[in-house]
Amino acid sequence: MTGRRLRREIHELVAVLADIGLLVRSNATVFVHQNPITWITWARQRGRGPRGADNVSQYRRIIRDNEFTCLLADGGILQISFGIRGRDIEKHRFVWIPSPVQLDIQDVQTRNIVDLIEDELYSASIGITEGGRDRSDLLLASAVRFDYDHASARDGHPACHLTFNRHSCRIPVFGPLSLGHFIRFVFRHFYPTQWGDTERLRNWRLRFGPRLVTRAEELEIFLDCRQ
Amino acid sequence: MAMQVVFGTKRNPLATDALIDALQPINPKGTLYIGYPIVAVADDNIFVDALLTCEEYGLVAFDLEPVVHNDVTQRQDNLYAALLQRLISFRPLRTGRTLSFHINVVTFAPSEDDESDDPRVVSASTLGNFLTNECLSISPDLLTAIDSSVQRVTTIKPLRRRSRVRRSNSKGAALRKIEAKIATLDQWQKTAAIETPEGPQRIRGLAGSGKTIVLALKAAYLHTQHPEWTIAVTFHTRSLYQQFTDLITRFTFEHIGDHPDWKRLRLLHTWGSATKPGLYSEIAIANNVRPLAFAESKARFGSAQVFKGVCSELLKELNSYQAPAELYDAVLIDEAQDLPQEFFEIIFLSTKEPKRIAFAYDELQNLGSYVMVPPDELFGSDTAGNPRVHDLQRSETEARQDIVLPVCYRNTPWTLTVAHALGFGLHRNGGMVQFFDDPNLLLEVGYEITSGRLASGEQVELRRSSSSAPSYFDRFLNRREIIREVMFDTNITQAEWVAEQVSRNLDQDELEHRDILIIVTDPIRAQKQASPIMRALNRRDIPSHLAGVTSSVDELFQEDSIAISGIYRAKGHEAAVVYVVDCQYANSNLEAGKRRNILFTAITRSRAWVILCGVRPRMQAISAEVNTVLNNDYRLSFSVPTDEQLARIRRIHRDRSRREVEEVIQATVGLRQVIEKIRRGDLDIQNLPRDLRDQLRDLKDLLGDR
Repeated sequence: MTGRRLRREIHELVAVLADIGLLVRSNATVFVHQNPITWITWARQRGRGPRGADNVSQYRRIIRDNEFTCLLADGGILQISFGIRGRDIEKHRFVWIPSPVQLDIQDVQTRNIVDLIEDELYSASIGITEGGRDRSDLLLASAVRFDYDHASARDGHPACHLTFNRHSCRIPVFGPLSLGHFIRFVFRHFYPTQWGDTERLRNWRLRFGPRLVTRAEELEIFLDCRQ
Repeated sequence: MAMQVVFGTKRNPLATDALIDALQPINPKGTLYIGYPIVAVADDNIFVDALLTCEEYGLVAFDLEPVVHNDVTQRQDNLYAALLQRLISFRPLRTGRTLSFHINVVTFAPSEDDESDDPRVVSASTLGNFLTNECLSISPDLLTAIDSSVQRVTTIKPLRRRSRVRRSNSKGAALRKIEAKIATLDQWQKTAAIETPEGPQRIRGLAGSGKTIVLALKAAYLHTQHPEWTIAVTFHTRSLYQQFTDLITRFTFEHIGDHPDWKRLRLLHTWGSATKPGLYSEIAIANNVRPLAFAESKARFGSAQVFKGVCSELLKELNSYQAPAELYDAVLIDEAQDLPQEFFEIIFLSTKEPKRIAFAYDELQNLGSYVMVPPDELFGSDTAGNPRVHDLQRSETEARQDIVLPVCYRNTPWTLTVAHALGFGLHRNGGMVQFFDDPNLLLEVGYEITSGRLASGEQVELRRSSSSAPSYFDRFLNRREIIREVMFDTNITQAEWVAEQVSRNLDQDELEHRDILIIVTDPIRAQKQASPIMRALNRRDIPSHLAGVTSSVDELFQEDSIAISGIYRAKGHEAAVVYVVDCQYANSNLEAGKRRNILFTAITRSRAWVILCGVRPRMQAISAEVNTVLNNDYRLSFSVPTDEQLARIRRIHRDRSRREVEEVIQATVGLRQVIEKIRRGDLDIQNLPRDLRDQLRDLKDLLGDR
C-alpha cells in the first residue's frame, strides 16, 4: 500500500470514531521523512515520539502535549504509525493506552479533558491514600503495543511482537499487522459496546503481509491470525 | 478630529491640567498621553509626564517638574536619551541609521514666573510659538508608526509569509494586504488600555474589538508603573492563558525591556484545577476556606451551575467575616459574561481600596448560563443593603470607568451585522429571542440609524457606521462575496460540498490550512457532525483534525491540516474563512438564546469570509433570516421591543438548566399524547372537568393566527 492510502485509512478510522461519539481530539496524520524511511504518523510528533506510556506521568504528558493520533472519550489514546520505504511497509507501531481514571461521558462533553483527567487523578490519589471514597479510583491497566520492525529481528526479539506490562514482553506475532488487525483487536476486546454497535469496525479490511514468525517462536505461546 | 487626551498617571496634576488647557485651543490632531509610556533606561525607569504625538508637530515630550532645581537641561537630556533608545529600535521609525523625525523635549511651566531664560522652558503663553517654530510636522504614516511604538503594540502580530500567494487578486493576496497594516490602538482602545480609574472599570466591546489585547496592555502598564502592586489577571477560557502570557510578556518587554514579575502580576484561571491554582482557590486559601474541587462540586451543584455554586459558598464565608483578606491592588477580568455574579462580589471583597477592578465583556457572547447584570447589582450590596458600586462615570478629565469599544477589527461590518441579526433573531418568524436591555447600546457598539427611531415600539433601520470598521475591509474585500448561506438535503451532501470548497480555498484561492476553520454547532453531538466532514476531506486527501469540543490551552490550528472544532474550543480564536456547519441547530424554540449565541460566536470567528451551511428543512428559516439582511444591503430593519415584549422574551427564552429543559420537553411530549388521544376518540374533550375546558378555551386566544 502506498503511503497516501495508509494515511487515508487512518483518517477513515478517525472519522468512524467521531461518528460513534468516541473521539475527543485527533491529530492529522502526516508524512515525516527520516531517510531512508518515511514515517506516516500523527502531526506534532517530536522525533520518533514516545513509545506508549509506562506510567501515569507519561500518560499525562501525552495528553498534555497532544502526542497521539486520537484521544478517546474514555481517556484512552491511540498512537498509530507506519514506516515505509517506497511502497514497502518496513515498520509499524500501534499503541493503545487506556486511561488510568474512569471518566463520566457528560463531563467529557462539557469540560476540557486534560483538566478533567487531572482532577480525577487528584481525587483518586486522595481517595486511595485516605480511603473511604466510593468512586474515583485509579485503574491498573497497561498500554498495549504492536510493533513491527523487520530490520531489528533477532533471537529473543521477534520482527513483529506484542508488548504489554514491561518492555521485556515481546510476544511473537505472526507477521506485520494491518490497521484492520489492530482496530479489530482493540475494539473487540476493550470496547465491546462500540464493537457490537458498529459494523464498520467489525468488518474493517484485513491485509496480510509476509508471515515472519520463526519456527522457534512458534514453539512458545505466540499470536496468530489465519487468513 | 480633536486632540485625544489619554490619562495614564497624573504625577503633577496642576501642571498637567494646565498643559491640557493650554493645548486645547491649539488642538493638534493627535494624542496627548499623560503619564505614559514608561521608558526603561539601564536600571532606571523614566517617567514621561506628557507626550504629544500629532501630524503638525511630530513627537513632543513634556517635562512637568517644577523648575526649581536648575537641572532642566539634564532632565531633558535624560528624557531625550530614553525616548531615543526606545524609538530607534522600531524599524519603521528609522531612515538609514537615524530616526526619521526629531524628538522634541520641552519643560512646561504653568505660570510665567517660573519661566527661566532657557528657551526649552515654555509656559501657557509661549507654548503655541514653540510648537509652531520648533517642531516639524510629520507624515500620517510616520505618525501611525510612532503611535504604534508609543502604545507598545509593535510586536502584536508577526507577519505570516503567505508563500502560496501568486496572483494579486486571490483571497490569499487580499489577506496579505490586510495583514501588512501596522497595529495601533484606536481612541477607545487607548483609553481602555491606559486609563485605570480609582474604582471599577467596565469595558464592553464586540467580539474582535481587541478586549484581550487591551487588558494585556493594561496589565503590563500597571505592572511596570507599580511593580510593588499585586495584580491579578483572570479569565474563564483556558485558551486565553497562552495568549495572555504571550501578550503581557511582549508588552512588558516593550515598556521596560524585561520579563514581568509573575509573582506580582498573577495570571490565573478563574477557578483553577487540582494542579494549577486559580483566583478562586487563591482567595479561598487566603481566607482559610478549603477550595472545592470539580468532582465534589459537580455532585452538589449540578454540572450546569457548578462554578456559581462554588462561588456562592465562598461568598457566604467571606460575608460572614469581619475583614476578608484583601489580596490585590488591581484585578483585571476578561470574558466577564461567562462568570456568575457571586464571583464579582468575591473579587470586590478581595481587592484593596479603591477597588480597581477592570472587567471586559461582550454581551452576545454568553455561551453559558449567566446573564450580565448592571454594575450596581454586579458587586452586591453592603450590610446596610446599599449597592457597593453605583453608576460608572464617564468624565472627560479623568480616567473613565465605562468604556465601549465600538470598532470591530476582526469581523467585517457585513458579517457582524448578519451575526447580530441571527443572534438576536431580529427577523425570526416568531419574534426576537433576545435583545439588549438598553437599545442605545447598539449605537455605542457602532451602529447608526438610517431611518426611524431607536425607541420602544418604533420601527428603526440600522447599519454599521463607517467609523466602526477599519477601512481596509472595504478596500480589500468584496461585500457581496463575504457571507453566504447554503442549504442541503442531507448532512452528507453538506459535508461533500464543504470539502470541495475547502479544496478550492487551498488551491485556487491560495489560502493556507490555518486560514480555514470548520465549526460544528452542537456541543453535544459535535463529533457526529464532524465525522462526515472528516471523511469528505479524507477522500480528497486533505488532512483534518478534530481540535476538540471543550476549551483548551492548546493551539487550535496545525500545519497542513484543516481544523474542525466545536464552539467552546473555537472561542478566542479566529480564521480568515469560517464554515459553520449544521446551522439549523439554531432554529429551535428550546434554548433558543443559547443556540443563537453559538451561531453568533461562530460567525464572529471569521476575519473575512463566512459560509453558513445547514440541512433542510430547519435550515430554511435561518437562510431566510440571513437573506433578509443581505437583500437589505446589510441593514437591520426591525421594531424595537417594548419593555413588556422584552420581559416576555426574557421569560420565554432565558437560558434554562438542563433539568428545566428536560421538563419542558417531557411536558411537550405529554401534551402531544393528550392531543393524540382526543383526536382518536380515546379521550372525549367534552368530558373533561369544566375548569380544564375553560382554560383550554383561554389558551386558544394565546395561539393567535396560524
